[in-house]
Amino acid sequence: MKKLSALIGIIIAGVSLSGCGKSYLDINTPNPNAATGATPELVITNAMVVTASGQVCNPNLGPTNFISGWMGYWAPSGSYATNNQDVASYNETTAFANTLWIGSYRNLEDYYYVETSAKEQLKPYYVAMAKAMKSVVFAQLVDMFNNVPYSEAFQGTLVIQPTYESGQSIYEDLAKQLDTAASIMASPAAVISPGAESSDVMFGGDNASWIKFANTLKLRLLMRQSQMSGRDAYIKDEIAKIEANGGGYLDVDATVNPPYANNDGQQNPLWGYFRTTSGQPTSGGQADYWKAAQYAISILNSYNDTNRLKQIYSENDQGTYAGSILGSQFNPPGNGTSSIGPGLLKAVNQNAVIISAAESHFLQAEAIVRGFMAGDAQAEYEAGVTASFDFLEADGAAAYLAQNNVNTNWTKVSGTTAQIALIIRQKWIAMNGVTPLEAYDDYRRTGLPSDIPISISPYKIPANAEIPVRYLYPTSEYTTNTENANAQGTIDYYTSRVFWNQ
Amino acid sequence: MRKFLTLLAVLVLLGSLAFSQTKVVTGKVTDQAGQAVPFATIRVKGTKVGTSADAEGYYTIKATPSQTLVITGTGITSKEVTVGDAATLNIEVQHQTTSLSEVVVTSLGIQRQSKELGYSTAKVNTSELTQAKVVNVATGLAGKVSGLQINLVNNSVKPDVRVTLRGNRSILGNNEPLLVFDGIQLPVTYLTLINPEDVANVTVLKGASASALYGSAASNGVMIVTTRKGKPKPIITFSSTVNFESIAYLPKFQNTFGPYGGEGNANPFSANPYEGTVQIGDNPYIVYVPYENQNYGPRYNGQKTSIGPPIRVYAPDGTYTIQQDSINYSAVKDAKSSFFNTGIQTQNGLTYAVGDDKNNFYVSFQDVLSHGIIPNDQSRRDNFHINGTHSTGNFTAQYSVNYTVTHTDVTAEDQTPFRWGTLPVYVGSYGPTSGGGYFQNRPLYWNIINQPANIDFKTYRNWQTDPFANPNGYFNAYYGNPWWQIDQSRMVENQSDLLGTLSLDLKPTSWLDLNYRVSIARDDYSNQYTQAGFTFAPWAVADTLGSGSIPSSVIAFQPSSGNASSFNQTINSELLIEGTKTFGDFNGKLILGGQVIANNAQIMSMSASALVIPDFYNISNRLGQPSVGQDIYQQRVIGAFGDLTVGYKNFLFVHGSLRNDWNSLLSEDNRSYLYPAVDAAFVFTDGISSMSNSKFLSFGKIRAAWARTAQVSILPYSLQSTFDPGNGFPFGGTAGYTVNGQYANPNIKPEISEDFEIGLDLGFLNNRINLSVAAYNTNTNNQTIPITISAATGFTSAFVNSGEMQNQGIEVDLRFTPLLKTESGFRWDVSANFAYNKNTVKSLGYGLQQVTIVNPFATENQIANATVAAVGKAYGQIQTTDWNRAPSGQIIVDPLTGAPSLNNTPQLFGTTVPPTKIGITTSLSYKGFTLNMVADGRFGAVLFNGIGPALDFTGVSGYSVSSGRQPFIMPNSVVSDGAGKYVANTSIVSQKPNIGANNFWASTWNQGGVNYINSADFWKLRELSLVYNFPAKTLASLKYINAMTLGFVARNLITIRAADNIWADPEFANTNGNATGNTDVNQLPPTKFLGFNITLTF
Repeated sequence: MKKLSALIGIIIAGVSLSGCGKSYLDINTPNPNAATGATPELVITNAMVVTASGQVCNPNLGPTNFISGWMGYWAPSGSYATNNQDVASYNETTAFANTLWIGSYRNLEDYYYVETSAKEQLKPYYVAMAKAMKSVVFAQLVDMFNNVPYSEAFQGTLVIQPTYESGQSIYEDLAKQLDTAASIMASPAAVISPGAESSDVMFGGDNASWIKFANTLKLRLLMRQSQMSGRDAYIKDEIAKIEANGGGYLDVDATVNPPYANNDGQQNPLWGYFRTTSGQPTSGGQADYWKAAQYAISILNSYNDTNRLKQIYSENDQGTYAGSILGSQFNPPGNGTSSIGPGLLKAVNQNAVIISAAESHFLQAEAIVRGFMAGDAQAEYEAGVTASFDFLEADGAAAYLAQNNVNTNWTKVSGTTAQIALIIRQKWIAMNGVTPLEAYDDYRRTGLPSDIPISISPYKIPANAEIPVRYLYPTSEYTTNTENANAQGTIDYYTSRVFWNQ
Repeated sequence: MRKFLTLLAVLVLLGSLAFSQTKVVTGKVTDQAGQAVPFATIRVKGTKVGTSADAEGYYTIKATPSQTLVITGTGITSKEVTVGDAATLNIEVQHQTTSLSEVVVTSLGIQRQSKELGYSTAKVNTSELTQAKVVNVATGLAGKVSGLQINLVNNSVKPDVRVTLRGNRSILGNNEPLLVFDGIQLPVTYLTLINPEDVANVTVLKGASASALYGSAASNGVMIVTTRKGKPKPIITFSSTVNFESIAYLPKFQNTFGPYGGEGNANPFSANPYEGTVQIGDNPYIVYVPYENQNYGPRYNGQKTSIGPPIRVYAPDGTYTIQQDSINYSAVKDAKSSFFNTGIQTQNGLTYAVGDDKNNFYVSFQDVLSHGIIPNDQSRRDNFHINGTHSTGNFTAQYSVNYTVTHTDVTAEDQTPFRWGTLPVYVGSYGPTSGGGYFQNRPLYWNIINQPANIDFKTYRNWQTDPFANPNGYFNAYYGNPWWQIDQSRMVENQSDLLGTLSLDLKPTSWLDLNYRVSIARDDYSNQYTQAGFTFAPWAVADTLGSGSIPSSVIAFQPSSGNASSFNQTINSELLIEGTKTFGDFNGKLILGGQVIANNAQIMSMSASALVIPDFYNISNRLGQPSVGQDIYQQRVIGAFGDLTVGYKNFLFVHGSLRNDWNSLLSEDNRSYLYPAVDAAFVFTDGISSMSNSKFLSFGKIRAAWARTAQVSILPYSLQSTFDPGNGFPFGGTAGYTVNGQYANPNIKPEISEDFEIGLDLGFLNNRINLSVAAYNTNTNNQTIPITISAATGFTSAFVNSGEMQNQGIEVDLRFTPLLKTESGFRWDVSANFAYNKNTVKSLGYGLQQVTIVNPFATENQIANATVAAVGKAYGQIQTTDWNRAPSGQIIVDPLTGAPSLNNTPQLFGTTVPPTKIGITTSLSYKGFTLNMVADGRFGAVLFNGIGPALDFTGVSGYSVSSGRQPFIMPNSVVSDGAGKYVANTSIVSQKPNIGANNFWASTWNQGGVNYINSADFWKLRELSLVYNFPAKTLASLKYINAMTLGFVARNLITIRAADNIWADPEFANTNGNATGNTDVNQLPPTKFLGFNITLTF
């Protein structure tokens, strides 16, 4: 019997061991490896750096470098074999924009977190920042994909398959978000913004600049819709709202700098795409692949734009400026063509542009010419060209504007069509290596500059294909948000245009 | 001590006195197949004299000629033999078949009779396991157990294996069985660290009901490895094996056309022709480019021609001359394979075993040194094992210690992962984004297989001294010299693993047994990655031919280095109380117990992407900021269980078990969960009296089992969403965080598998023929895994409890022991196993039609390619791009260019997990010779060969010359007739006469993923061994040698592949995770092993 009681004792010990297991098992909180909470100040910083990194080229954020190829800025050198999936083929599959889609929504999730947590924590400055910045990214999503998930997005597994909303209604809501952002920034509560000197890596806590940013961005979105029929009244009304807040438009570049430094992952994104930390050109499909396009060089040369040419591109090994033809089998090798120049690659810690001052002026010039707002179109146009020269650290803007050339001199053209062609032509030059997506949007919207060369790649299908008008929805959406993605119908990247480009 | 010695002397004296009339009898105990039966007990009938045969079956005993020897042992039927007059007495005994009274080690070391089991088990003994002298226990099991799939995923000097039992249960979680080594629960990857010579047997518990007692780690089955024990007679064995590893086969290459990439400017008629091109043959449009990486140039003609660009060759006085190398323009024999060495693998092992009735002791040491087929690659494994038992009265103590040190030194692969030692998870990665090469992220194998056929690799070995082999002067303008890569880009890994266990057993009364066991498993791992830099000479950078060469685009390649270290430690303690009672016709066994498992792991890493002083690999010697990382993992599990077996008249058995786990990984509400299991077995040949004396049917059992198991697949700390520092942050004083893309779910519950199995075991003709059939159905619900979700949710993956997967299968094992046996001593044993597993993803929940298991080739081949789980399909579907096709299935080509176009939507192409598996083992013996063979086949799966697009790009692929590089019409293609119909294409060529304008293979064909999918069906001759046992009388003259065997061993001698698999080993994969069936350019060519073994027993 003694043995039996010993046995029972052991069983009881075993049971009590598991009974007292509560504290023994409570070892998996907190997480020792990752933070489980973060302030809006900490999250907005990274989010803005990510948004900035996607504006020209970022292999982690999708094929935005292709846009520079399609827009006649860059072309692959003859050192690389062409194929039926490269920039010159124009061919897209659903894998094409996967990373862009995922990267954009992940970036937007951070803004969503900032907006909601800043609202809870009564930090209006950050609410306004988040509203403005998410508008940049959402507008770019609509510009590339048209209808996308919007108001049902960012709910995690609560809404695991968010429905798609029309690009136009998203654009209209973004306009409201930007109005709100501007009005929050103007409110006294937002003026006190502790920590913004360091966490606002764009304007360092300057409310007035944010109002200008929101206004300019809204103008960008409105001008995008300028070619839509029956849209003029809406655009005019919305511009009137901008004018009413009195904050004005950007007259300096809206740029991000966290600050960039010469370390892996800390370089300015454009610089880091083309230069290693030891200052050498990157290789393996970046600096030795993307070279000057012959078209851009010939345009700059033909307008006597030597000063900007020398800044946008660099000399090849033969000491001249030469570019490649998109899709040609006869391109010179890498060192026979010009690389990206010193006006775009100024320093490892240069600012990353979200909206340039030049764009702001060109947008205003176009809005005035189209009669959407009052003002001096010529002055805005010339300010835009001058801002581009300034950005590229090139001299001679005044002489350039004054030459007897319908492609540079405002006074040599007349009539809305010609003026818009001039504005877009110069905007196209100014967006080179700065915000190429804007040039692509202008091209789709206006067909300008009309002589952007079509790829001569033998791998185009059909063989006479012109520049694609959009990106395909990515594979990830067809597999994870199947019903909603399929509900958008069959997408053809040559004919399924986004709403402002119908 | 003196007293003891005296006593011993007296005893010895008495012994010799008592048997002074006797003689010494020696001999060998063998089975029906002539195979040695180790450790049989030999007693002289009616006396207390006894001995034990050694590991090779040899025994020595003293007896008189009239006495009778009684031979008994585990797994053999007892036999009596009269001693007789001869000095040598070899004894043949009968193996009991597994269906009879063989003891099987089941969950938690509980020993049960095979015939009372209601579930499937399989047992592989040491002789079967080590017959081909494998280094890795897992490889030794391939083909030998039905339902067990072993994949050797690559063949480096330290190969990874993937092990699954009865298919995959978890969509994104772990699908590998639990390994139990001497009672210690371990991840299955530990199989690579065990000395196979130490293994007495491997028991495989296939179904969930068999493994339910192990709790959440065992829902994918269990492999129980039991090590050898010491036996009464002291024996020392020495075993030495040398294996030679050589390439079994390579992808099919072309040997007809030389370098030229198709660029229009290469031909001399272009407006701006490239320099350095040569016209060979009479087609002016197809020129020879001496520095080109693609092979679309002129036909080889044997002419002496230039190779590479003109380079500077410096004299010792600093002067230089410009020289251009030249070679014969013709294919070199074995151009690619000549890069590789013959790998040499040596295994030397020593064991010592001793024991008596109460105690036993076993100790072993093994050294395995492998020199791989890649020059400079090597690995070494040293293993020390000790175990023993000590009994006093009703108390027994058992101990086991296993210590393994491994060292590998290999050419660095692309993005070496931070490795948690043996923990089967990977976190992050560092190291070369350039694959160890100095350009374009090219891994080593890429730089080897893509070189032109007219290049003799051996001439480029001395890159330090030979200017034409140096990166400055290497002929190929776009792919680096692989010899530089193997010398300058290294990954060194060191790992030590300590396994220790202590088991105390007290038997206070005849019916009660108390057992306490504590064990520790500790893994320490570190690695160092070193990547030399290279600063190209200005003259090389100048690139006189204007080729856009590596020197001109790289200019200076930065040296870099990284280190990581980790430890992973598990302490396991368990208590078992076992009671056995017989009540009339019933006997019962009740086991109660508890278990506590505590796991701790930590990893630290640091790396620098730019070093200052070359060849000095220390993190302090860097430019910029280092990358650092740290991760800590902890997990605790408590289990309590009960297990009851009731037998009726030794022919009907019912068994049930119940276990509850409390797991720290889950929230308080969800951390407790229950595993019930029941099974029953009915031996009808014993139970039904009319059948009990059948001569034909000697044994028959029918069985059934049901169990529910749970698996927690999440990693620690997965219940809370996290924020990570943003990429590049902190920037100076600016911090930045981002919401982690994984959406955490605090309410995660375990994943539940419900498993039902029935089986029939039959023995015919005195169990000479055994047939075992099992059928099972497993439904796994509530998958607790991160599913990929739409990024529009703000996250890319989320933990959900969702989805159901089903596995239904049948397994048949047939064994002839023997199939044939003649009087002359010839004997032939055959056994075969067949398994068919039908997997279906029943649902994924949340409206999902598929989830991505992995995207293996996101960038490298530009081919969108993934392995997914799709509703209604078998697990592990390959998804990739297809061409646009007419409704008839024929490829549509463009009416102008003749080019096919890619379908925008990726398609599914079939499962990567073979549903049908067949294994055949056979053994032929005659006199002292034994020939063993193992062959197996797997059928019904597909494979994606990521190497294919690369070979087509460079034009080295065999089929790219199928039209002799002439224009051709794509066979079986159609064109649109413009009215919505498709007509056969009879006139539009897909490759133009001037390939510079349209290179079909390199720029169109190699973008279609469908081209590189092929059947993964195969037959392999896995093992072949011929062993000669020297007869005892031959050895009699060698005083100390009791046994000697000499063997020829071979592995993977023959592989028969599906006709459409022209690339690689169908078993290889670029992961040992769930996404099998995908290879890339990091997998080496398949190899075969040939070797010799000598084993001496003292």
